[in-house]
Amino acid sequence: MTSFAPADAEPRRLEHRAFLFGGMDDFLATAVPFVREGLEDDDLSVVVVVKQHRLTALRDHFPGGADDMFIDADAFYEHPVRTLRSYLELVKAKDPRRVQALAEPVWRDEWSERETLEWARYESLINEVFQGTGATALCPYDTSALPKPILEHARRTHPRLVQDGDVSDSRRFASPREFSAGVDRTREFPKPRESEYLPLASHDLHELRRWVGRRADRHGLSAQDAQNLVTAVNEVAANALRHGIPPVGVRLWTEGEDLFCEVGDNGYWSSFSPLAGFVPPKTALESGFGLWTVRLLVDMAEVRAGWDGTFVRLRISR
Amino acid sequence: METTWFHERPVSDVRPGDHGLLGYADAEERDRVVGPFVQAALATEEKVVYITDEPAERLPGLERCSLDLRKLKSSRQLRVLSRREACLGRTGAFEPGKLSDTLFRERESAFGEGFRAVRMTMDSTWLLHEPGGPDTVLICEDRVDQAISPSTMAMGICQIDVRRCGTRQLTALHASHEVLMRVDAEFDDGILTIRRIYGPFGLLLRGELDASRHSHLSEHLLRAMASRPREDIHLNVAGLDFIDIGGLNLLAHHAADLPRGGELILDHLRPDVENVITMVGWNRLPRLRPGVRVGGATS
Repeated sequence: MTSFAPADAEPRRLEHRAFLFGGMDDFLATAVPFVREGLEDDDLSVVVVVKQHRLTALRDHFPGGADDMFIDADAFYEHPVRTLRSYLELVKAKDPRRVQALAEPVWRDEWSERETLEWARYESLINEVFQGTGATALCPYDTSALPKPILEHARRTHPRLVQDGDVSDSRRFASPREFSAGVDRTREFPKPRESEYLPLASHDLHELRRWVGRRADRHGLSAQDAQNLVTAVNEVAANALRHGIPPVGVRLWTEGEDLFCEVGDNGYWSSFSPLAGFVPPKTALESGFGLWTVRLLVDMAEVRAGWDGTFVRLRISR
Repeated sequence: METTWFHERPVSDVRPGDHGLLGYADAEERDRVVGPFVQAALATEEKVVYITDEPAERLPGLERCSLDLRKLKSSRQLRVLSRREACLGRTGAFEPGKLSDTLFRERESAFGEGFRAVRMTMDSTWLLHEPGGPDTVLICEDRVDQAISPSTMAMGICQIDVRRCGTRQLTALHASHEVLMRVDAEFDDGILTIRRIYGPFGLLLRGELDASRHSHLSEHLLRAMASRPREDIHLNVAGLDFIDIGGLNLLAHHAADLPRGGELILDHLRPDVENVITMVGWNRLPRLRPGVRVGGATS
């Protein structure tokens, strides 16, 4: 039988493995012993986040398992930055017990390539965010159902692979920084055909908040989403005014259900990291808290730090 | 939210005809209202009638001031009347009729003395413990009201120590006053208001907090922290419509500087404003915590 315990004696090391399976039998042949091993070890706390039909099949094997141990993946994987935060809270809550997680990310057909990439980035970030926690995460990927590019992401975002009962190093693995930079390179920033522009000269952002708030209402965002967008735009604008080079301004436009808001300045963000604002800070006192919070507040926040200036594009859907 | 069917008025906005109630939670709050009330009168051509057994030089606004109190008294601009002179009978009991007479006399003579207005004040807390208790206070307030409200030149502040006053008594007192006196805001630019609060001690924030206003909040928060180094600091944010992310960072920085593990407590946080805090998690704001919720209950 494959043992899932970390191979070396180094404490608190993260084990992050992609589990490539085909069909329910193959799934259960690895998943059941993985969960059982966790349940039998008092130092471990088991969490199972998988798609509903696999959840049902697994539960049948563990009739005594606690209810909160089984989580429906569809509800859990809702927003990559928020999900990463919730996962971290969960791991912290279990401490000093180490988490043994069977965690199957959800890949939706209706997603754009961009959204799929953001979830692949999420898988990659696990390596960064959970290092030192001693957690073991086994991430099921259904080879019979998932498209090839997603399986390729799995090999790039997991240092180890489990397939047909064997564990091997993933030769395609990329560090989170490298992977994230790759995701960023594929992005496109199409210019809107029509947009409104508000130049920002003063540090007093009261007028900007009203301007964004009115347009958010008009677009039909809920009051809370509108407030979240206003808070996010305000933060990005305050940063641009503080660290950027004029002219600073905000461009806003809509596209179907989506509202976009892009803050730009003429400065060059030379120290920009592709992980900026993705790794949850320990407290508000740490640098990166602002951008991380912005990423939590909107559906997507994309930073483009180029020779022609620094741009932060925020998207939120009604 | 603070219930306000009556008018709240910062002391600097007091105007003739105002009969205001100052329910103070500690001496600093009293001094920050009564002090400016008295000083504003003496700085202009207004008369002050202060009913108290304390000597003039120990009264709020007159303590450690550069005014020539003897001169002010002899010109009758400053009238410090003892309770015996103003409202006690021979037996030492409170006599409402005598209080009325005193207030009318002082008010009527002011015009002839050349003053354009009269400001009257008395701490009525002692009346709570007189025979008749709370009713006596209300009778007293009624007499003060008759002397002030119809007048175009009189204004008054009734001081009550809320620590020595029951909730029902305080409610009755609120009902008998049209105006509630408050300390002046420490900062107000039309977008953000910052005001010192007492009971619990801290600051009230109203409006919108953003980066261009952080330095003002810092300044007043640091002053508040310095004046009460042994206490938690409360921020009443019932009227706060917006807090920026930098504002949360700022509050966390100040909370970290509170001595002896003190906390920064956010009272009456509105759900739409709290949302951003819930999003990042209260655990990322060490030593900041929610206090009294909107509607009352402490979490």
